[in-house]
Amino acid sequence: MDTSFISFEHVFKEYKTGEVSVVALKDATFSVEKGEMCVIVGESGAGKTTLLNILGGMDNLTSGKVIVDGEEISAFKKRQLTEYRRRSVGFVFQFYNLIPNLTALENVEIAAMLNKDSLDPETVLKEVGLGERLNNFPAGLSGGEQQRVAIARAIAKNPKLLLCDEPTGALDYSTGKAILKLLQDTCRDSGKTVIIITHNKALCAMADRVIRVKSGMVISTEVNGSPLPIEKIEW
Amino acid sequence: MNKLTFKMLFRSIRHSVGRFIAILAIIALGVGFFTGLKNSEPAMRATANTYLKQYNFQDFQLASSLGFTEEDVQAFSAIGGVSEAEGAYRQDAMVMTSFGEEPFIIMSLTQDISTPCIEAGRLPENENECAADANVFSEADIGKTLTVTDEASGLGVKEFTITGIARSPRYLSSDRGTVSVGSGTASGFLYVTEEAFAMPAFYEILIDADIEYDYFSDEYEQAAAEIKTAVETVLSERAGQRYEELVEAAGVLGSLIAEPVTFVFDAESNTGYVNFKNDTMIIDGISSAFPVFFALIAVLVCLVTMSRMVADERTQIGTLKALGYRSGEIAFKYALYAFMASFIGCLAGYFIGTGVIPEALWSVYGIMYGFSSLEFYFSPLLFFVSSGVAVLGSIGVTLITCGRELKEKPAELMRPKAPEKGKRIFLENVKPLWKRLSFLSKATLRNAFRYKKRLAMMLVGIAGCTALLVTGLGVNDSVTGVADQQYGIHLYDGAVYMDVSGKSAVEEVLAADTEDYAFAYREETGVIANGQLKTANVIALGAEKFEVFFDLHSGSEHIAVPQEGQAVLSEKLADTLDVKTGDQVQINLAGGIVTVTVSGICDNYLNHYVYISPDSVPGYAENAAFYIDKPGEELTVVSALTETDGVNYVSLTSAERETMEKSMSNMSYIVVIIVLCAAALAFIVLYNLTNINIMERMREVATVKVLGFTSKETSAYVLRENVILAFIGGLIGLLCGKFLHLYVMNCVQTDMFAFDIRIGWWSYLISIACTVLFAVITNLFMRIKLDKIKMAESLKSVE
Repeated sequence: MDTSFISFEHVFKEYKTGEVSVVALKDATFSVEKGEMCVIVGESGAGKTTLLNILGGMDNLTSGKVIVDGEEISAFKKRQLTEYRRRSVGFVFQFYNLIPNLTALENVEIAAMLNKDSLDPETVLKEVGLGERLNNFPAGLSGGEQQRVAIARAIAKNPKLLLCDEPTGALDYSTGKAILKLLQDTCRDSGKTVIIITHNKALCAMADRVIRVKSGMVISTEVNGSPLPIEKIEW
Repeated sequence: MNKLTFKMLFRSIRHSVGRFIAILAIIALGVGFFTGLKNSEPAMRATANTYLKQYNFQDFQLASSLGFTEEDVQAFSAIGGVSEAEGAYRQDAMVMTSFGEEPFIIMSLTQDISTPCIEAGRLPENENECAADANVFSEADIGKTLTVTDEASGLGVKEFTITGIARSPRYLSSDRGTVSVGSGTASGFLYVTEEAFAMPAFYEILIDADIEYDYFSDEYEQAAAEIKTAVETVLSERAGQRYEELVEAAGVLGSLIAEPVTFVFDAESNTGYVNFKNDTMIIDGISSAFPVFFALIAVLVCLVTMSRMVADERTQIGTLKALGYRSGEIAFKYALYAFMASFIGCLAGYFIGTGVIPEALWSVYGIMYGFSSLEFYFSPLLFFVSSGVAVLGSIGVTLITCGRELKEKPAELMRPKAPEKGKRIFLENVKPLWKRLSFLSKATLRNAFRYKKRLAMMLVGIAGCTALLVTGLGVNDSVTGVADQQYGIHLYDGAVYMDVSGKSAVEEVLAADTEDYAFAYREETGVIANGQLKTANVIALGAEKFEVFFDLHSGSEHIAVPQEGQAVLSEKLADTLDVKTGDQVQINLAGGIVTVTVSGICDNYLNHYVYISPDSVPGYAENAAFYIDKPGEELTVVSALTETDGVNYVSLTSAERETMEKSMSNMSYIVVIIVLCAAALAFIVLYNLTNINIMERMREVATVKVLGFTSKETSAYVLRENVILAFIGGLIGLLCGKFLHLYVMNCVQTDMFAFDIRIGWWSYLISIACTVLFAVITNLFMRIKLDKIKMAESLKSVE
C-alpha cells in the first residue's frame, strides 16, 4: 500500500448544510499504481465524484489520508492544493467546461502557460485530431470536439494524473467511444495515470483496475490483468 | 397569487440578499439624495419664516434725516394695509467690552415689531440694562457692564449691565452691517430701553403690514410692493411737513436745515433676509440637476439585476409554466420582489435623505445663520411623486425583463440556456496590437465587451459617477475662485461715499493715510435698454487714475477705459438688458438721462456696474472716492473717515470679501455631499455588476481554479476588466461632467452673484483617479468572494 502511486486511506467526507449532514464517503480505502488506467464505477450518488474531487485537490476530507506520489495531499493547505492542481492534475469534466470566450487553441494555452514543462498546445490539439479547429470558439465545436479540446487542455499541462468525471456522459455512443480511445491511448503512450469515473459497468473491461463504489463506500478493488481495447467493447 | 408565492418570494429574497439590497440601495440613494436636497430649501425657508413671524419682523423700515415724531407714527399706522407702526431709536457707538473697544449698534427695545428673541437671561427693564448680541456675547457675560466710550450724543445713559443674551430678526445672518463709527463694520447690537436715549425724535419707524403670506414668497413680495407706494407717499408728505415745522421753529437758522432725505427699506433691503433668500435658492438650483441622472442609473441597475434574477430562475419559471401557471401569475412574484425592494428603498431614502441632508446643510449654514433649529418639513407631493416614479420604474423594468423570458415555451425554459458564443471583438482586427497582447489580456478584453447590457450599465454607471465628481469639484472651482476674480477687477481697498461738500475733508484724510486715492462720481440708479430697466452702480472715474482702481477685462482681453459717451457694462447687466458692444443704453442719472454707447462688456461676479467717463455726467461733482491702503494704516483711515463730516459710509473690500467667501464656503459642503453620493453610487454600481458578473461566470471561474490558477491569477482574470471599463467609463464621464456642471451652474445663478464657470484640470484628474480607485477597492472586496467559490459545487452537472 505504501509504495502505491495513489493511496486513499480510511477517507470520510461529511457535508453539513444547516442541521442536515450527508455522509458522502465512508471509510473509503483503495490504491492505484502509476500508469494504470483505473475506472471507478457506481450508481448515481454513490460518491464517485466526491472521491475524484478530493483526489483532484478540489475538496477536502473530514478524516483519513490521501497520498499521491509520496505527498500527503489531504494535509495540504489552500496554496499547496493550488500548486498540486496546477502541476500534477489534469481534469476532464462531463460538460467540458471550456472557456466560451477563448478559441480551442487559447483554451489549451491558458492551461499550458501555467507550467514551464507544459507541452506545446498546438501539437497537443493536433494529436487529439483538432488540427483544423484551432481557431474555433467552443460554441462552434461539436460535443465530441469540445471534449477533445478539454482533454488536450488537461494533457497539455503534462500532469502526473488525469482525472475524468463521466467524460462521455454528454456524448453519443460512437463519439463517446472515440473519446475513450483517446484516453486509453494517452494512458498507454505517455504512461500517465488515468482515472475515469462512470456509471457504465461495461467500461470496466478497458481498465487495468476497477474500483466499485456504493453508498459512499469502496466495496471492491479489482486488478484486471488483461484490459480490452475500447473498440472491442460494446454496450 | 397564493401563500406559496409569498413563501417563494421571501425565500428568493433570503437566498440572494445582495441582489435585493442592491436595488433597495440604489433607489434609496437616488430618492434620498434628490428629496433631501429638494427638501432643504423649503425646510430652511419654513424655519426662517416661522422665526420671522414669531418675532414679527418689520415689513418696512423708514428712515429720515429729520427723524420722526409720534404723530408721524400715527400717520403711518393709519395707512390701509398697515396693521401697526412703531417708532424706534438707534445710536451707533464705540463700546468697551471685556475684549476691547468695538463699534456697536444700540437699538431701542420695540414692543410689537421686530422684537428680540431672548436666548438667556431677560430683556432690559430700565435704562441701565441691556440685552446683548448672541453673536458676540454668551450667557457667561450676563451681569457684566458695557461702557459707551465715544460721544454718542443720542444716548442719555452710557453704562449698561447685560441682563440677557438675544438674537434679532433684523439680523438673520451674522452680518451686522455698517456703522458710522470706528472701523465702519459693526461688531454687534445691543437692545436698550427707550428711556436710555436722549433723541428729540425717533430715528426710524418700523412698520408691520397686514400680509399673511410667507416671507420669501412671490406673493409676499407683491403684496409688500403694493403697500410700499402708499408708504412712500405718506413718507414724503410727513417729511415735508416736518421740514417746514423745523424751519419755522428755527427762525433765522432755518436756512441751515437741509432738505430731508428719506428711505423706505422693505424686506429685500435687509441684508440678512436677502442673503438667506439667495443662499437657499442656490440649494434648490442644484437639486434640480441630479434626479434625471440618478433615475437613469437606477433604472439600469434594476434592469440588469432583475434580468439576472429572471435568468437564474429560468427552470423554475419553465416548470411553473409547464404546470399551467399563467404568465401574469408568474410575473407577479417578480413584480412584487421589485416593488418590495423599491418601496422600502423609497421610504428609507426619503426619510434618511430629508432627515439628514437638510440638517447637514443647516448646520453648515449655521455658521452664518443659526437662529433656530431646523423645522422638519414634509412635502407629500415630493414624497409621492418620487416614490411613485421609483416604484413604478422598477416594476416596469422588471415586467419588461420578465415578459421576454415568459414568451418562451416551457420546454425551452427548462433546458439550460445556450452559453453565449465567443465573439471576436473589434480590437482583434488590429492585428499588430492584438498579437502583442498577453493572452490573459485578450481574455480580459473579450470578456469586457462580451455582455452588452453589462457593458452599457458599467459604462453609464461609472460615467455618471465620474460626471458627478467632476461637477462637484467644478462647482467648487467655479464658486471659490470668485472672490479672487472679483477683487482682481475691483482693485481698491476701500470706497468712500460722501456728500459733495465733504470732499476736501475727505481728501485731507486720504492724502495723509493712504497709498493712493482718486475721487469719482457714483450713483446707484436705473440703466435702460430694450425696454428693460435694471438698477446698477454707475461709476464715473477719470482716465488717469482709472486703471489703478479698476481692471476691466473680458477673459484675458483688456477693456479700455470708457471715453465720453461710452460705457462699459458688467456682464450680467449686459445679459439682462440684452445689449452687446456697440448698442446704446440710457442711464437715469440725477443730472439727467444720458445715452451712451456700450464700448465693452467686462467680467464681473458681484452686483452690477456701469463704468463711464466723468465727461458723460451732466453736472459732474465728486461724491465718492476710492483708495489703496498704506500698509499698517488700514484702521486709521477708516476711523478718520467715519468721523469726517459729510461721509455717508465707508465700504471695505476686506469686509465685503469676507462675507462673500463665507457664503461661498457653504458651497464646499454641498460639494462634499455630492462627492459622497457619487462615491456611494460608484460602489453600488460596481459591486452589483461585478457580483452579477461573477454569478454568471461561476462555472468559468471554478474551471479556472481547477486548472490551478492562484487566487491572484483568478481575480485578475475576472476583475481586471473592471478597471479597464472604469477607466473608459471615467473618460466618458469627464465629458458628461463638463456639461452637467454647466447645467448646474446655470441653475444656481442668483441675481447678485455671477460665478466663474470653469473646471480646473486637477478636478478632472482627481475625478478619474477616484473612479479608478473605487474600481480597485471593489475588486479587493470581490476577490474575497472569488476565493470563497467552491469548485466542486460550481462544477456540478448542468442546472
